[in-house]
Amino acid sequence: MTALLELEQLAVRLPIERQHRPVLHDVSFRLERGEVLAVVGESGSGKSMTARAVLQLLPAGAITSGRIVFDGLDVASARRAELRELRSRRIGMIFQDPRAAINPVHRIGDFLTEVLVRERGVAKKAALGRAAAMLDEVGIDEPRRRLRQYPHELSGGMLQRVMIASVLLLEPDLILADEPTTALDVTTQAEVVAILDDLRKARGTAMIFITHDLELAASISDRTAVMYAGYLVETLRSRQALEQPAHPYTEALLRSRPDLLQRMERIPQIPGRPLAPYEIGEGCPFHPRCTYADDECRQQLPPVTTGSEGSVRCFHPADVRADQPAAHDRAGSP
Amino acid sequence: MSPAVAVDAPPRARSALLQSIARLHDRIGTAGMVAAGFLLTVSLLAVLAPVVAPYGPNAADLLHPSAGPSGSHLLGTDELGRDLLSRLIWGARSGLLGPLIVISIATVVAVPLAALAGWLGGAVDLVIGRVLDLLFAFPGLLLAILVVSLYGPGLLPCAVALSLSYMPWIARVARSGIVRERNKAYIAAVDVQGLSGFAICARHLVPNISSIIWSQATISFGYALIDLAALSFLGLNVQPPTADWGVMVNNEAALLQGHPIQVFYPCLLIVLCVTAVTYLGNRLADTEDGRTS
Repeated sequence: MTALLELEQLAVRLPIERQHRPVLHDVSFRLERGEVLAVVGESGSGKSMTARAVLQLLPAGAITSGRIVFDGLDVASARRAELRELRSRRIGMIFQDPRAAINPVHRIGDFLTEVLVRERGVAKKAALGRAAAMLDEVGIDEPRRRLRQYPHELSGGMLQRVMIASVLLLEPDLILADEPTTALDVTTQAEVVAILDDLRKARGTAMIFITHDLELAASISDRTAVMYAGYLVETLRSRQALEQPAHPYTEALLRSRPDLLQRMERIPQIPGRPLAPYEIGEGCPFHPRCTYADDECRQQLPPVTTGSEGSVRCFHPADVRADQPAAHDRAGSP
Repeated sequence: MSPAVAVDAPPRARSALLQSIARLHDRIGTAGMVAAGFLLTVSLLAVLAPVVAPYGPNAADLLHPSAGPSGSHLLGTDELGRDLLSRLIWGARSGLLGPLIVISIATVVAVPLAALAGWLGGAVDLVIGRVLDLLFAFPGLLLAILVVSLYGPGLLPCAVALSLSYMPWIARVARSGIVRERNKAYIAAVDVQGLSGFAICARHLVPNISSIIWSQATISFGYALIDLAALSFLGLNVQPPTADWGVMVNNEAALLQGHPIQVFYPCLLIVLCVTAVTYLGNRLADTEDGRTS
């Protein structure tokens, strides 16, 4: 059986300050049916851009190369009608800030039923019934009354549930969740993620879950993809992401988490600053900040090595490093 | 900015009418309420002219030409003995109907064009933009004179001609609103749900810029009122002896015979209406910025 979604060497360039600058370099991954892939990385590392590329929701003037194949359909070269079909039936997207992503002048009921009624020919009354049932499923009380309310009458957490309900109502095969909990406070975050994951699991829907939060990523996903400066630097089983990262960047990210059990004087940080995808020069995108970087890293882009547990774009992944002294030690002894 | 908590109707609710008046007052202020009240009164008088006007617009009291105010003629009469108050009331009909036609046509044409340009962008936007520029270059009055020379004088040819010259103003403002609005997340959200471009424009983009359109249309209404009065004054619009403010301003006889007050009344009404409408339009434009986001 073919993968549900396959990206092959996807690269995107956007017009920034009158130049076409790269925002994604050579991103490849597969997503099976019903699988959850978490995409983590710093702001600007290309997480959202990857998800948006799948839906062709890119800014005007974007240049895409490589292939995005969703269930046999090449999205990048799809016709408008195919693309609309894809968007309305196959792939749903949950946005970061529900308050911005739901039209403030429409009632919740109109928002939830609009596509069902207008694009699928469901009768308004039947659609409202489905919407109410779905609101109940995402844990919103008094769904009938909510349908008549306006977005400003609901809290952020409730609105994000409405957003989730709107996506699930369309019964997609794939959900793209672009930091769905970033705009919510921590306690609501956990509830919303749990509801999303439960309902998704019950329906066997695949998901790409974009987040900053490594632990959240590990808890919700089967595999984790780590992005840095527009590159996919590592994909690995989520169970391992917290214990055995292979890429120095993933390792450094894990070290930078505050420890909940132990008070730290200072949270370790990765030296240097994150680079934009168009700022990186020759070699590995992470080499200026990497403790293991050597001349090879500075001159050549590391190839992706794929193992049974995942893939990594690094000359010195953890299992190789374990057999040899770190680069900076070697460099120190001529 | 918006309150996050649902607020039920307050206990001992005031009547719905009073509440909506209070809301309107919050939005446009006291001066705005006065302006709105004035316009409402003039509109009502215009609609009810046959009932409220003491005389017919052309009923001449030949025994009392150019008379001053009196019990039987509250504002006096003109040089033919026609009651000025009655003529002002009847004149409000074409005075308000004209700009209404102009703005209605202009808006109905402008908004779809703006939606098309703003939503599709690219070459479509460019072409529509250039066509609008071309229309900008035509002075409205000149266009009206052209149309009148082709179709003869009257309210309709003048209104249609003017609407063509007001259309680009509304279209340009609406387009910039749509361009700003279309990049917002909620539009992306309905776009990725596969809603058709037409539905996105008609159900999401245009309703969300409706207050910009309203304010621009309101301000344009004032300008159109002046333009139409000017056309009447020039004898291209409503023709004498029909009662019309512009026609009444064009009354050399009154001026020559030393009765400038007869010209003063219609002028005053034009100025008051335009001021009221423009003030309302500006208030709508001001509050629009604070409302969304």
